[in-house]
Amino acid sequence: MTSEEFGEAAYRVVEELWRDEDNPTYQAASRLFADGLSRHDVIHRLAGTPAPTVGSSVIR
Amino acid sequence: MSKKNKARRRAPASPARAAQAKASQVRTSQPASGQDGDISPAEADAFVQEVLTSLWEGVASGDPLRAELETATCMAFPYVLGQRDPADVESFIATVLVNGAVRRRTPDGAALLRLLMTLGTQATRRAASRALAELTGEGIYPPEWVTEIGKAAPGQAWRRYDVFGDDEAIAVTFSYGEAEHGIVVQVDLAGIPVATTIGVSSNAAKLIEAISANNEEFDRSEQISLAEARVRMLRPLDRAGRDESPKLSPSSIAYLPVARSRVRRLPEGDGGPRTVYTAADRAAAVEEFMASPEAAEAVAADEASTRFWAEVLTGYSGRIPGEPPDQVGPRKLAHILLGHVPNTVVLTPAQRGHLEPAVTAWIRWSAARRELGEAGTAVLLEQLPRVLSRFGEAYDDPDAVAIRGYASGLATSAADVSWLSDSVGRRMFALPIPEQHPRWTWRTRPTGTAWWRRSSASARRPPA
Repeated sequence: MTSEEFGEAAYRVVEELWRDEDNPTYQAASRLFADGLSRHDVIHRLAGTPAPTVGSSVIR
Repeated sequence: MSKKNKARRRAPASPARAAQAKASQVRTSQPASGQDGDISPAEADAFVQEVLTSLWEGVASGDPLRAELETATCMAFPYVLGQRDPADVESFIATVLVNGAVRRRTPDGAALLRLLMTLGTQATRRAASRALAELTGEGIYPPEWVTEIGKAAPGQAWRRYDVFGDDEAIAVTFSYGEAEHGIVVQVDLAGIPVATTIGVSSNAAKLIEAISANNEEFDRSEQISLAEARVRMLRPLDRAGRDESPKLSPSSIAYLPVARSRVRRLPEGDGGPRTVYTAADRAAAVEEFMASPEAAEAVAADEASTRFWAEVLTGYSGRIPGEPPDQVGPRKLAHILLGHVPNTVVLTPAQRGHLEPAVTAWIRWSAARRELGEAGTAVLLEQLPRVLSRFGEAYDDPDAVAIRGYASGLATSAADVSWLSDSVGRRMFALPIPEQHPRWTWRTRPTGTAWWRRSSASARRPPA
């Protein structure tokens, strides 16, 4: 996945989270969040790329 | 943002908070020194020594209640120093108390571990349990009396509340054998119910006498079942002491683990059904108001805006299933008009212009419906101008304007407040307000959802 593709995927995840609670993205995010993942890691995971251990993501 | 850079929190400053002071009519023993959490390093050192000395004396005393209180006081130590991050508090308990207990390699050390297993969080319980297994594996066992810890038998429960519905205090007696004691928990009902003051008294009779006394004009008291006491205290105690909740005094934070432990001893399920109010009940209340004599003038001037405000005021009760739709008190009025509305509702000029007549009418109707009498009605009406004088500032606050954006397309006057709160929290998780936002305040935060808690560590309390 290129950085551009990841950016688009992350944007899509954020948009779905914003929209409503009745979508699979939100349900998955809820589970990951309940497992203790940070917002940064949740979005990385849902966008298809594991979060780097150190970084300065613009979506942190 | 680093933990060290977290904004320090100040005590609640709303004028309406004054009503809360009556909560502490019950005198309780003081487990820890200090009042505001800001102490010098020298004072902290002295405090640590004093607390640890008292801890081991308490553990050695063989008195379960005293041992619990001393242990809970130690567990509160990070909080007294201003540390509210749960991970750091756990770290302190694991490092200082669990490891300290193991290092002693004595029955008293084992007793402390057993105490931590009763009073601690799940993580603390696990750590203490592992450590106790290590000691018992070496043949070091806690003394016999330790088996009684946390097994206090519940006695009776009382509720003291104000007629406006802003606050309530629940007191429950317990006994270790013949020795009685009591816990008392003050609950702030103006927002999402949260315990704001917690006490433990070794004199249960005096506690009940104090809480059941009818010596305040707007206070009432009643004996309640132990199961109802559990329902009224459980969630408010869960929320107490968390990062986004009102700051507790050092003594309250020290009593918190004991109170939580006691509440778990209360029975579930025999408290009888509490009335649950639905959206239909709230809609019916709005219709009743609109047809009432109190509403006539406001309705004649602007029916749509009057209905809008009636829906907002009744809708706010939807955050608590057992709250009647017509209930409002001086502090809740401030919560609604200076917090809930500015954070969630976009007003038309007509609605904004009709705020005062509509809310005045609604308050008169509410007071009459609840039979608050002249004096009670006067208390509510006296609060209204104070709140209204701050409404413009609250509504036009840039933070409130930003937060209203999160409720865009969701917030109608009849929207379910709990759902709205969750939805705003979800959107804030999706797209947080930048942390460098200059004036993020407690007043303008939405509500205490899990999403909100985890995504807004920089929330602060309002300025005085």
